[in-house]
Amino acid sequence: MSHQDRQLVENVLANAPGAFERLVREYQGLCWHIIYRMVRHPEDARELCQDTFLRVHQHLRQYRYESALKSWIGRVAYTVALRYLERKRIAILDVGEDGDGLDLSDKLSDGFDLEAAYVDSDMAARLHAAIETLPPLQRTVLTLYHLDELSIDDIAGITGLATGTIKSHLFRTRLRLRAQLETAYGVAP
Amino acid sequence: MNREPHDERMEREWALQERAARAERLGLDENNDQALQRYRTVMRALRQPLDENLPADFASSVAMEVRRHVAGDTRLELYLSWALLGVLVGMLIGVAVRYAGSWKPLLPLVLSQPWLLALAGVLVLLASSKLLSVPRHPSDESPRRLG
Repeated sequence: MSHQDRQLVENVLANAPGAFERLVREYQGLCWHIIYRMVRHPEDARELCQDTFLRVHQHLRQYRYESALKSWIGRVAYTVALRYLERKRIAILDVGEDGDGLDLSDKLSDGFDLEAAYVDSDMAARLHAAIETLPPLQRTVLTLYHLDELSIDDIAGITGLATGTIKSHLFRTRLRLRAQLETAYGVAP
Repeated sequence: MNREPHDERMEREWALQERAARAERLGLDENNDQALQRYRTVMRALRQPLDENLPADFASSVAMEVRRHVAGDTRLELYLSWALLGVLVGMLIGVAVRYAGSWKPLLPLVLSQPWLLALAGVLVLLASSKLLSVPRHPSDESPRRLG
């Protein structure tokens, strides 16, 4: 909990002019990444982001400064997105995915130059398409770790999952992405 | 599902992934390792901004929406206060009418003391001014959703 966050929360609770808008501006990116990655529907994701910040405002007095503000707000956003997916009966995990990743590791090639291939925009498009087809939870975990640069502990705080589970998702999903690309470009296992 | 990468090969692969992530994050130049470069390609794609974003005025719209909600809550409290006051006044009138007969002998006594009437008037004025001083927000309109 940084001093700036504490100050910001106190200002919002004291109804200081512009304080809540500053809080939203500070954390809207994180909120969007969580919700859009989970939900994937832009209009619904925008509404859910709005709901998230309305809840944050409504419940800010319950925030006890025990975790970072970004984790607390991220947790609210994650819960809002999770409820949406439950209502729509969308699974957040791929139920068939419970291997340990070794089989994928076996398929990886040592002789394929992905770096050169990435120059091809088709390669980038394939990679993004592969990310889009991941289950909501894996997509979100990857985005929080790589794009928002959150620590594994922070992601565990937001999702309520154990750090070992977060690591496992990161490991297997990155392995899977690499294998998918190499398969797409005709590299023999 | 809940296991960390456990054996030696997986540990090496995990370390390689983390090295690639760190190299992309810090923009390090480590071109000598081909396997690392392959993971860096994946990490680069994972660091790309999302294709959709929130509108530029999202923060100000949400802040305005919150003000509307707060104003709406205050208005509800005000309506409830008036409703309660109405019920109390009604009960008071009912009691006055019911027991009017027994209070009649006291009426000339009260009327003979004008300061009692003045005191009652002041109390009513004070209560009214307090009720009317509940703040109302200028942007108090019906709530709307962000587009």
